[in-house]
Amino acid sequence: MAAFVAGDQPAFDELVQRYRRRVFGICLQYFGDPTDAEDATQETFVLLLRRAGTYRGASAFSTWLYRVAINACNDMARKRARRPVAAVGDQLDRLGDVAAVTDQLAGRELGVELEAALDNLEAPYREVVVLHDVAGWPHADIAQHLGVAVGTVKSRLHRGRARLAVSLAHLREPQRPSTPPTVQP
Amino acid sequence: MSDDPRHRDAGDERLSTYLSGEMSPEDAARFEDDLAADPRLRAQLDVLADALVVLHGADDVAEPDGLDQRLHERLAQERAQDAPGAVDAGTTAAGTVTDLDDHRRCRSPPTRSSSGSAAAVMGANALSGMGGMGASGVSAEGGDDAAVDMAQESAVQEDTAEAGAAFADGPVIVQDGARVRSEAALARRYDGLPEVAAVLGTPVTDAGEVADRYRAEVGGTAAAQSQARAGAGTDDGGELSGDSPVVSAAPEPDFARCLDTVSEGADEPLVVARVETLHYRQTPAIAYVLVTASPGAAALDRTEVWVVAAADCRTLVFQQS
Repeated sequence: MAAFVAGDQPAFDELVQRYRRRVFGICLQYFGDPTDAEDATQETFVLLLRRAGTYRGASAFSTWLYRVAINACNDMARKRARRPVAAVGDQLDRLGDVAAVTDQLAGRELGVELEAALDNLEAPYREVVVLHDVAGWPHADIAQHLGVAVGTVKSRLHRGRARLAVSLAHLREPQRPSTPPTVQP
Repeated sequence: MSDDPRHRDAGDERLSTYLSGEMSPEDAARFEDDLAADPRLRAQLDVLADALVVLHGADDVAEPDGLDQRLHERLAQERAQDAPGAVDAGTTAAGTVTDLDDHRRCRSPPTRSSSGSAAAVMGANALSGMGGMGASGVSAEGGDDAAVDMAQESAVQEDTAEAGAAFADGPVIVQDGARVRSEAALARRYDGLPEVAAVLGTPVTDAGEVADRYRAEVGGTAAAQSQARAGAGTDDGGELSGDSPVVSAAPEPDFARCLDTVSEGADEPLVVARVETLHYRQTPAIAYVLVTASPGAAALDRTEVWVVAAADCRTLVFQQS
């Protein structure tokens, strides 16, 4: 990691190789469209290339990468939101209700712990987390589907995720914050 | 994180807003301080990120054919453009390649356009904004940008300090068609601008009025341009300083029209601090430097750079910090 932070190209290339598919998967879940997902994937790694030196170890690298990827997606979505884009409003028809979406979980390799934590979430939180984080529904679509405000959806999502984090925290032993990697001058 | 047991039970919602990129840079910095001081909070953040990857099925998807190659090519292109000597070089009308960094350092501070003054607009010179403007929303990890050319930044800070008084109020409008070849060069170009600093911190309650006033100046500029073209046959090159690249062949950009395009859908006030013509990767373009507020922020705290094609206002680049 120190080599990556110092701008070492082979180290960066190795990270690209290791995380490329994951980043594409995050972006695909965000957009639901492979073309947009690839664009966002490229932007993510361009950002990593430029900002390798900003990684300070406040979180795990995989966490930092997740955030960089989501920010790249947010940027792309923001651009698209201000310009005419093709409608993607038929997701609700395709995906059906929450129960149907929940069924999709069974086919994924969720860890036992994660499934249990999800099952233990109170229904309003579980519903939103599943629709957003598993099925990839935008906040607005969830709000429309549930008949609540977008702000309510966001609030439930953040609270639901926070509860998940508490339930799962034992899987990661608390670690001392790592010392920022030394960057070679 | 607080030791309040309720927080331990319910978790900290900031974990989610942080990962979702919905936190203002200031709040993110504070949260990162908390992360550094609280290993338990950090563990929760890391496990939540891992859980989201699993929930998204992100590790289970199949990559599109050729993604590896296309990504490799894109990164190689970025590296090449940011290599010494390849960034932000300027090409004059005569085809001579010059170093715009040096070029800009030698210029006088740019003249701010006054409303309806075509001469002021046409005579404006580019201000160099060097250093590393945070690109594309990655306020991650404290928002500091280590990829800054410190030497260039230092030189430009002198420029911007000198020029600051000229930008007390109103947008800066520049038409010299500078050549910019990479997003990194754009980020450096628009970092630390005094006209941006002049409006950052404006309370959101006042920002609407400021945004309207600045926008009116851009609109007034467009009207003045039309009048100047109709009345004088337009020889813009005559108004430009001798060392400025001339874009006589390019059609006059419609600043107001493309500003409407980039502003469309914005929920927060957008103050247009700077408008500038560019040639971005050979495409005649307009750059807008906008100052706006993060969701829920009390004051303008964020900068956006939009580069759009001059011909049709199509977005070429979007950056924010």
